[in-house]
Amino acid sequence: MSDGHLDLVLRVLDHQIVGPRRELVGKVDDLELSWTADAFVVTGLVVGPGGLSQRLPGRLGAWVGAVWRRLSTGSEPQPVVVPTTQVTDLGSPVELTEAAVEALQRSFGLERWLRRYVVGRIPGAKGGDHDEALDSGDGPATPTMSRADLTEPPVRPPAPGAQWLSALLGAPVLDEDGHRLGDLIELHTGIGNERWTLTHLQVTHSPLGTELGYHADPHQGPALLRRAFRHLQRHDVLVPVGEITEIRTEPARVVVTRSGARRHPHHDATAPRPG
Amino acid sequence: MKKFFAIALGILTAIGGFVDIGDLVANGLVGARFGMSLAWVVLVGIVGICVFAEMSGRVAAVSGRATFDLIRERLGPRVGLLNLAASMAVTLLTYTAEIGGVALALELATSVNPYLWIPVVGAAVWLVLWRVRFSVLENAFGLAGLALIVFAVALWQLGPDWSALWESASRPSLPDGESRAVYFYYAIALFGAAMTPYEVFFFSSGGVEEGWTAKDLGTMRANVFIGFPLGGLLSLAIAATAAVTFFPQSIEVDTLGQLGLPVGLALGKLGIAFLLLGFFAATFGAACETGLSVGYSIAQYFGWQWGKFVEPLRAARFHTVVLLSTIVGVGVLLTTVDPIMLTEYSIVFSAVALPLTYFPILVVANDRTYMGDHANGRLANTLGTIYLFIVGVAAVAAIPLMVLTRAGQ
Amino acid sequence: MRAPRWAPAACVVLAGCVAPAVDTGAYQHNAVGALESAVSTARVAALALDARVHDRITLAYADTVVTESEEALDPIAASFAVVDPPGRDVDPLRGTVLDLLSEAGDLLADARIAVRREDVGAMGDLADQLRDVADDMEQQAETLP
Repeated sequence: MSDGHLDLVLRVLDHQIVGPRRELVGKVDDLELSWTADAFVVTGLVVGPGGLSQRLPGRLGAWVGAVWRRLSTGSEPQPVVVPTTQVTDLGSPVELTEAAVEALQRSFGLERWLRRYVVGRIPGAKGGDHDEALDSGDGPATPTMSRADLTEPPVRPPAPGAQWLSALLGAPVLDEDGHRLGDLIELHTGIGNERWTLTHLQVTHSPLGTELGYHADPHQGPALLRRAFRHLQRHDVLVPVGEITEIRTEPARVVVTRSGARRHPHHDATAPRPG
Repeated sequence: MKKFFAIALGILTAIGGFVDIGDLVANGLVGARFGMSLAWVVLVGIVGICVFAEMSGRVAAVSGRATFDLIRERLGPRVGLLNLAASMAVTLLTYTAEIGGVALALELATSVNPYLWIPVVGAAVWLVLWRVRFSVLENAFGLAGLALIVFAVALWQLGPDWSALWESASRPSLPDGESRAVYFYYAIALFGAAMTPYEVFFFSSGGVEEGWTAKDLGTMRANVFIGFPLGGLLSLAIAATAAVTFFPQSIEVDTLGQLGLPVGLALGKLGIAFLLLGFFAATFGAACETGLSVGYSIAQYFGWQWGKFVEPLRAARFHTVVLLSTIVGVGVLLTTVDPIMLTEYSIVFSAVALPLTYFPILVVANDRTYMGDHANGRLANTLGTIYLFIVGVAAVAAIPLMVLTRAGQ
Repeated sequence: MRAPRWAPAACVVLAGCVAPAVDTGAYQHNAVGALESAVSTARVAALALDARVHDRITLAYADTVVTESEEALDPIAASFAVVDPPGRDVDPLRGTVLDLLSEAGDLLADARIAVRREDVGAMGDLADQLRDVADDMEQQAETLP
């Protein structure tokens, strides 16, 4: 991360989500990406089985999805998206605001069902102080207004027209002549205030083990694995988001402009090399 | 002074908690059948579990993330789920074997049929996981498990020919009538018993339960580098008593009662009392650890609230998984399957599943974004890479050897 | 008839229980296996009896170990008895082995009763007899190739 960026797949996707008091409230099961007037940005974290089921293969995914729908309260359950404005810290876990955590906890059908019908019925389930709001109230998973942010609810359904990161990962990346650059494995964003704005796509010929981190840190050990992955990923290139001419899902496909100067992600931004 | 006691307590519980039904069965069986000629495997296993546990403990302390958190993060949901399924199957098998082990220990104390004990033991284990505080659970069973030191005392009392023992341990040779395939099959079983994956799930999740931070690294390392090797020595003492008593008479050990006979011969009923306490504490403690580990792993994969540091109602999914695993374990045992046979399979499959958890931990322990200055140094990485090979070879060889030797017959 | 798909797996599992004895060599191998297991079982029971005679272990402990031994010997004898001898030439071997196994089985049953009655004299005698029969079985196993 010498050139100041964040690897979305490595650092955000599939990470633990915590609340202000370190409560564990799920995983970043997917990321919602949207185009604004002038930028490609991460607008939300998809949390819960509604998002996860779409990333699991075949029948298993369908089954997880079916259980989730059965245990959801609304008539047409929608995957839960937490707007990125609710993220307060981005470390090893992703930390959310109190309001988002409360809204998420209300959306967990399985947890609420088990609390009500299984665990809550066993003597001794409650110990110490506990929050009545957690097990009372059976209302639908409608977002409540956050005290901190009255303009946007702490959780919402997926935005229309947005794309999900997992649907793009592995997409073939072509240039305008139809020449294949490789597969999309990673998205870079800026840091600080720009941490949700996408800057580059990372493209590889070898999608093996891309969440392990060797594509991001050129010095990560142990030496044997570093060399092996470096060899596999030696043809990786970064494509600036500005060069995207088309990006779509079903089937996933990315088309970018032709360019002579694309750099390997391990190389310093000041020393580009021919792709 | 307080800190000193905390460290001493940690070391003692690490020693007492090291041995479980898998170590008992594997070391007794191997000692009786192969003498000390497989002692080197125990040493390889001890170094391996130290390397592995230190890495996962360090990651847990520095990043606050336990093992399956990282597996999901680094392998993604699909491969992570495969990994979860395999690790869960092995841990559940081990959990079942431990519950069976407690029942066998109680049978030795009471001569009441173990199948009558099994439901009682299952209920007791669940109750402990439901109600008892984490630190109490860990310390009580770890300290009581120290009673297994009777094996070392018994060995000394039996007055073996130490130089012959040393000779057979330091120059391993194949005993008469044993094939090379069987020898290596038991080598893998012994290795799997020393490096069971649940130990690492439990160790790292326990670190998060107890709120370790980078400041606790010293204590964690003392537990690992002093406690585990001493626990491993206890395993060797078990193997040695069996080697001294049974190997010359070509007796094969396949029950807990047989395994403990040398203690009775050497130390009498007082020794038996300690032995039974040790058997009980080691298996009951390990049953708690494996039961929790099943819940930890699934909850960490999905990001659910887990742990005994919150009231059960706040971790309903976690506690439901623990409850269901207990029911499954008891149910399997009540089909009158032999717990010792389950144990033998569980340690071999542990060896098969080991790389699935070992590899991601090795990678994350090198991630400097998380670990900063606490990332793996040269020594940890050299040993880590060597063990990546050892663990890989053992995993690949285990099933073919199992088929070839008809599970070691 | 086509073999079902699980047949190979079932063969692997069953091979552990009933090894088909196709020739004399394999039959003798079976006999050695049965004898060795029985030697181990008889000697461990003898150890437990000795320990109980000298009051080194509790009644419950001795009872458990001896009962386990008795229960372990039954399937050893049964799985040897069910194998058809490949020819008449091994009939004497079959007879000798089955006699030895049944002698050991009887002694183990007596041992269990002696332990539960806390009959110290009988336990000592039975320990000696179990050791003798174990030695006989070991010798018999050594005569086989």
